[in-house]
Amino acid sequence: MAGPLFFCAQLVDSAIQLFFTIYSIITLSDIECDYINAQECCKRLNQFVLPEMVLHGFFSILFLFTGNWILLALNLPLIVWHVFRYQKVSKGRLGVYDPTEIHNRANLRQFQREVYAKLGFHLILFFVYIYSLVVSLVGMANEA
Amino acid sequence: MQAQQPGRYPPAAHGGAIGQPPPPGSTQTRQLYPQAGGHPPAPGQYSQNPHQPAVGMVTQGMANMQMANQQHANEAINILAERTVLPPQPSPFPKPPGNDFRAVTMANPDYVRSTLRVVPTTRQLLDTCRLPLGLLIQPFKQMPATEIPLIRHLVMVRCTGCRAYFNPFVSFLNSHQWQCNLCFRTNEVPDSFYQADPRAENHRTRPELKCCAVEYLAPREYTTRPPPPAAYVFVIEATAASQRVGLVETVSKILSKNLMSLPGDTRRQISIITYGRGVTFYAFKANAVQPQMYMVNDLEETGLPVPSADLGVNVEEFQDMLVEFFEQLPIVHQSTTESDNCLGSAIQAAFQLVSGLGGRVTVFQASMPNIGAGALKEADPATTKGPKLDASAGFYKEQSLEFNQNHAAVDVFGFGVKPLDLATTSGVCKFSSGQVYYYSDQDHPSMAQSGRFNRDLTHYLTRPIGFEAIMRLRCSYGVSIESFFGNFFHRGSDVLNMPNLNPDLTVGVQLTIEDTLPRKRPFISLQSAVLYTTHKGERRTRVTTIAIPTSANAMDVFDGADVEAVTLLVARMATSSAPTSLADAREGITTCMVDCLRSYQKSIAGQSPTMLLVPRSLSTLPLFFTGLLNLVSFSQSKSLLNDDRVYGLRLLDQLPVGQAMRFIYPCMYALHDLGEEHTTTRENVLHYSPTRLQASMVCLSPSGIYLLDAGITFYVWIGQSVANEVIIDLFDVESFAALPETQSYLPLLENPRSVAVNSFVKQLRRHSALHAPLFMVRADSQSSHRMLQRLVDDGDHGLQDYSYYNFLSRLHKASSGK
Repeated sequence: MAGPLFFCAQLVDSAIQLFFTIYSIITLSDIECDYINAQECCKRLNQFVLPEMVLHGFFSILFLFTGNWILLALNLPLIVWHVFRYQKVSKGRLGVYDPTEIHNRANLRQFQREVYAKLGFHLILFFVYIYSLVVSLVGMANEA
Repeated sequence: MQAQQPGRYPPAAHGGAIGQPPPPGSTQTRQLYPQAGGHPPAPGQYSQNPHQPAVGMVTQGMANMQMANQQHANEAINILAERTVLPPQPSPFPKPPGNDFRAVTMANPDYVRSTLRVVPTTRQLLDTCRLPLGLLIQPFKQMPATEIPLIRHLVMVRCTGCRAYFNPFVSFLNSHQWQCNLCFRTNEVPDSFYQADPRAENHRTRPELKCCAVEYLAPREYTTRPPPPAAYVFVIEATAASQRVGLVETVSKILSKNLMSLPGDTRRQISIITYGRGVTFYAFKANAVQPQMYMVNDLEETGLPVPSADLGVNVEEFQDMLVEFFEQLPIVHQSTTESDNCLGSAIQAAFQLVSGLGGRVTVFQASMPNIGAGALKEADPATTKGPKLDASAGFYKEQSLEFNQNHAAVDVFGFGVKPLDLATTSGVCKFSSGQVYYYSDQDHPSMAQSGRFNRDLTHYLTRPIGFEAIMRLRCSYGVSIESFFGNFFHRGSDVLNMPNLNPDLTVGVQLTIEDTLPRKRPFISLQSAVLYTTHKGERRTRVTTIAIPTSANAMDVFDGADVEAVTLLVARMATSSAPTSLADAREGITTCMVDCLRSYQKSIAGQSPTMLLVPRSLSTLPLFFTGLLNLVSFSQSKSLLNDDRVYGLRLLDQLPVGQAMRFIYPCMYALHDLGEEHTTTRENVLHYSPTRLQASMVCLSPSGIYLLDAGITFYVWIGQSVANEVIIDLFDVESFAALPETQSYLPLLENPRSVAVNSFVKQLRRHSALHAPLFMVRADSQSSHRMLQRLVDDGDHGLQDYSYYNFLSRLHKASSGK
């Protein structure tokens, strides 16, 4: 079992992921209302694709070392989805979000659905981490 | 009479099917435009309304469906029984109900088509009907000034809410207030509007309020920068591969001939770049006798060797030097043995020349780029399975976005000596509103020198052009845009960026209905506004407004479907999904048809195990979809080259509606009895309208000569037992046996038959975007399979996967399955 400091770090990571997700939601709704243009939107979104995946992957792997199997299992579907999403991008496209194809309504809706799903997922994980943090703090207090 | 014809289908049960091919020798004329008295509607005549759908027609009961073979316009027909079905003529837009709109000249279906001429009022109804709602607009089609009046007085009345332009479908509350038909906002009529033309007795006769399409001279606020000179850059490949097709020689010859016909004012300029292992620039200086050649071998950062002012040659000033230069250029590159190709670097070099100015870049390519920026690798046949229609590098797409920002378009002419990887390199055209032209090896051994390239390039160089164009599509409340299909950059949710406008560019847009349309309006309005700069430097806006009546009745929606527009929109939708998965695209096409039939049967006709009921308005839809599935673009045949497939896909995005429909489903005509009875005179020009036949071998009689108009190619098929005098008249040889096996031209001889046939062919070619070469084949020659492949109705010709009847039985099984 890991200590409270570890769970604090996980909490921070979860907060960062939430920030990425909310930023994506804002950008996508901006482009739907025509506040920004396609290239600007895709630049912003593509910027955060790789950092998000890498950060999430790294912190999830840490669960492997601390032995929290349940939490690892919770994070695994998202890792798989990230890998699938990234390799689906064919070589001819300009990144995961392609400015030439982003204005297609069907694509836009699909991106929004994906981002909302991730938002829900990260929110749940956030609360799970808070709970785990509290449990580990209580455990520490009990031992002391 | 009909039983004696070899291979004819037995006549349909009710007799008198439309378009039954006349036996050879008969003088039967089919009325091509029965509603207009046999004459094609003259421009401006669309105020008569021959195809007004019967709004609110009573739907028939089940019992009547069994006798659905009556020839009522809105009935269902059993397509399994009716063998010969041919497409209807393009019908004009029906007028929206109301007295105000009686005198309005509706938009001409030559340049704007809607898939549904009656729009469902709710989203649910649209989903039930399963037909795509959308438009196909050709924004820069050259129409006479009577069709699209030019308004010079610089008074543009626009809605304060949605910025829509004044159009014939606004409602006037009183003489000073009008209500916008797109956002329903009340606006003031500015006094300047009445002052601009005080002679008009009634403001309804003003062109803005009478014609659906008008062109305005845009005032100064609509210009972001002073009109630039027309700048043309030609990027020509000079390698061993291009020498094999005589590329440099032919391009130089055609350019030199058409130098003064390039559109533009006196400031127009051209630049030439050749590329091979390196990029070569040609600088012209006023006091020099000869142009200077600069070769740049640094391919990673291709910079300009001299300032771009020297590289852009003013056509007027340097005309003589240019003509001489074009004579010398082929000689300079005559014996080149380079096999490396640095296309990407050449494109970057061209970018440097047009950045800041805008203009047009034309690329001539004969081999795959293998060095420098954007180098591509030839696909390893061992690892790739299935067709590769997707781009393999994002470099060219990135370049197209940069060209977009600098108001320049790139067109590519590809020659298929070797594989070109057109899928990747054509990315530079697609998003910068350019076009791809491709001449494959099979067409002609020395393709660059063939008449086809000559005519295409001449048409390309001399056709009207618009620069820095932006198109915005506004929809009335309740209708929203799903996506656009075509060659342009989709910049904002309803804005398209088109650095170059050419008359053949066609925009496809798919629309959807958000929930319910407002009840108080019986029609929806769509307005497209294209702001562009003419080649003379004038800034203009072309505004086209369309109003489509609505109905809550599914039957009306089915009857108002425009079968050609539906086919082309579905084709474009399939084209956009084909690069990711060809199987999905084919699946999508078939599913669209099945869903539509199933919903029709469920909602109106009722299912039947023996009959396949379709609405009469959609009776040719399965035929066209068979054509789509058999196209080279979507074919599952294993022997097709990737470049041919990619070109097939691009053609669907680039061709205007008429030519694209003939590409999908060819028109066949009998030539041997083309005579006086098939002609009409329109404005002192003889116009031929022979009977159109099904594209099937069944309609080919051995004693006839037939012309197959397949959009991008014409085939003339000569039957084995044609009368000798016909052969002598048309081909100047004694008999069938003396004819060459194939020939690529139709001789023009001095007898009425030959004149008629040649005029007919010229008439068919009149409004084509691409020149269609003509191939004459004898019925017994080995190359006749090339024509027979395009006979869509039949299957089993190697390239054909589905025959028409095959497709029908699949549809029947699928739609009556559950």
